[in-house]
Amino acid sequence: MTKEERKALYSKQVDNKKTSGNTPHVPSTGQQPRKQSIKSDQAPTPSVAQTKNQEAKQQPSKHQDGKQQQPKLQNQKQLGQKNKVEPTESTKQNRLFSHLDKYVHPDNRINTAINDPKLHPIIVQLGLQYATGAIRGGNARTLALLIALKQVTSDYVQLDTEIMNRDFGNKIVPMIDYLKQFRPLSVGMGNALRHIKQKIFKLNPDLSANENKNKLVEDIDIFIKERITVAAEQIVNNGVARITNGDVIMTYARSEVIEKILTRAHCDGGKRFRVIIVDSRPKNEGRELLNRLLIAGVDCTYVYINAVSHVMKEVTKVMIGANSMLSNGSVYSRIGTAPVCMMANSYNVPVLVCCETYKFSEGTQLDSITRNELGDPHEMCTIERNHMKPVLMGHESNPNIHVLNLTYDVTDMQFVDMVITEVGSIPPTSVAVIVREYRQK
Amino acid sequence: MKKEELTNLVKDVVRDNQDMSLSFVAITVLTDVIKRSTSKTMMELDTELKLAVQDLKSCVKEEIEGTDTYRGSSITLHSGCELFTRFVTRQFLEMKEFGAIKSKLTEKGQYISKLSALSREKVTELFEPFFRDNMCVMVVGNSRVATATLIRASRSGKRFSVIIPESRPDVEGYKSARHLRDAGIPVTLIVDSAVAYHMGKVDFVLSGAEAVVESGGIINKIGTYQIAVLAHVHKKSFYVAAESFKFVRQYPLNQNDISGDDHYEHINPPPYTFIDDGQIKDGHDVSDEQERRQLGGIKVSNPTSDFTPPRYITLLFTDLGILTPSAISDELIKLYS
Repeated sequence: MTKEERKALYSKQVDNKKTSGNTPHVPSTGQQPRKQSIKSDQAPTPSVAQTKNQEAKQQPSKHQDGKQQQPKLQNQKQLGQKNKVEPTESTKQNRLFSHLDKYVHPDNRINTAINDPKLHPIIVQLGLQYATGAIRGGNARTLALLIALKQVTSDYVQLDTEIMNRDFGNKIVPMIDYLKQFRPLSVGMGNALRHIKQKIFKLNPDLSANENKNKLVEDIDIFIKERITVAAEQIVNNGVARITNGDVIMTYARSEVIEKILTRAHCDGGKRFRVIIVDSRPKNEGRELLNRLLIAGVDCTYVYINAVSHVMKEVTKVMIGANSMLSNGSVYSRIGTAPVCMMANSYNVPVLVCCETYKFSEGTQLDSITRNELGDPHEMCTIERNHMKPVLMGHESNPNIHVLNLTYDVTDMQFVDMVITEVGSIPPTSVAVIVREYRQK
Repeated sequence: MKKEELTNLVKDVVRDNQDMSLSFVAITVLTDVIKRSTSKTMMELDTELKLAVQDLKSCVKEEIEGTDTYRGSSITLHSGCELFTRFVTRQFLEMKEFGAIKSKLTEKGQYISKLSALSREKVTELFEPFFRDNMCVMVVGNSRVATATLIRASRSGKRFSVIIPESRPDVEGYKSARHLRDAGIPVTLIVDSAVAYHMGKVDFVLSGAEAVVESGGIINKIGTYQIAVLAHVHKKSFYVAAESFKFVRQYPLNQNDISGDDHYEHINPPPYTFIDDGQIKDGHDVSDEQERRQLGGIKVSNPTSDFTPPRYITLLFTDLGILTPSAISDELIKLYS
């Protein structure tokens, strides 16, 4: 883009802003259409609606005139239909990350879905819990989903003309789509759903609906037990065995299974070790872990990620949880994990990843850009939750600031020494083998 | 089986199979235990076997370890026992009739014992094409399979020379050097501290292994790790020759993770006074007692084995094929799942 083109583009943007009322800056490129279903649920601002209706990839600025005219017309149409207003912070996006679903604050997700006959009330509730962060963490989210599906299954009413294995499969599709609006499904949730869908498909049409429903509920229970609860227990046992007296364990943010390992090793295992919790803004999830470990009586040090190189010298092992393991051996986990692992590697400290096999993904990812989740940019612009003092006042309307709050990052295999799973400890190169073994089953 | 009976059995097996590893001994002995067993149920047999494994381990510790035949850590023994008991439990799950299980287990045990001889053959066969004329090979320690590999290559007409570090503290290097010399291979013996000095002219390093761990690393005679690191720095290939019964379900991350009690409390005096004109002269005649008095007040750390991480290993030659370190875990998953 030449300087002239940029200028032209900017003036056009300013014009757009004037014509569309008070809404601030309209991003110029790279907005992707959102899923249709969102549109009907909530009230978009002009700018949001515009971006939603735009072509997947916008052409260079030369062609923009024609392109922007069309969506604007649609905006007005939609404005006529809906008159709620959404805040504007999510309308701007870093161009590199424009392919990701934009963050929308849960308060603005007031939707009409509550009366949607296609959605079971427990699903509606679950969606809101995901959105507000009331349920978070890989295992908790997957468990909540499976428990909700159990409820949906037992409340399913089969009409005489329908066959359960096909009809029920179709019935849960809109529910999953609805949940996806609030947060993308994690790899573990995806795997669990795939498993359940297979079970639904295999239901015996000759049996009565009640028998089938019981069978399905039982299948879900088996999955929960085998792949999540017992698996976690086994990982904890394997993890505890890895901790020896005199260890200094570093962990990052908060992982449920790591918390269990550390408390178990301290309380039941009677091992003498110290924990360094590395944490980072804006989520500060490590504080929760810190609280719990302190209650258990574990000797803890709490540092921010800025200090990781300073404390790494004394660390003997780094133990982290993972959102998922990718089949190229990479770890997909809370953002900040990669720098901690890389720092550990440069100090020759072994990195142990704890991950259940149901979170193993068949996909691969080389960077943290292609797939990720955008968080609330507001979190980064306030110093403390309770003060809520904005430090980047008016950043929404400043076209030159892009606030990027990524949720996950990818740690390359070379920085990981061991993956602790319920089937034993494996090197990251063997993730693909486990994935293959389970697919064959 | 009574413990004395077992001890005699172990001694017999060891005497008859001087060139076999402890893993082989374990499997042979345990098969015999099953054969002689009078148990009527799986439970009984299982308990008996567990007891036998315990006895076997303690018996080997008392009787065999430290003798000329078997030095180093007992990790090979553990892996043999583990593999066999694992196999037994699987048979229990698969088959219903007890009599059938018993005969099947005996059969399989004998088969495994036979296999371990065959697998060494297989490893040497796989390795053969890796030798070319005028090569210089460094050999680590005194590994049966590594020596067999070299001898086979030499017999097939490849002309190469071998450098052997003396491999202190128990100077196993001397043993392999004599062995290779007798096979007509030009051998150079060096002190352990001269490994880096010679590494530049070496084409590849060949090592055996006491155990191959899950990450693809190896546990082997002390000194292997440092040679592997030096080979890595000099960008030389580090090859490991090991039969698949040496695969163990262990995952050490560093040296502390391998059993720490395998330490000698003192360092043996060197078996020579000096190396002059390439001649080794025996003659250092200091008793352990004297040596210890001289070292009074000084702590001695003299470990028997070390762990070489997978990143320093180029390839592993096993009877399952030529594997990269990362493929080891895949094979182990198959073996145990």
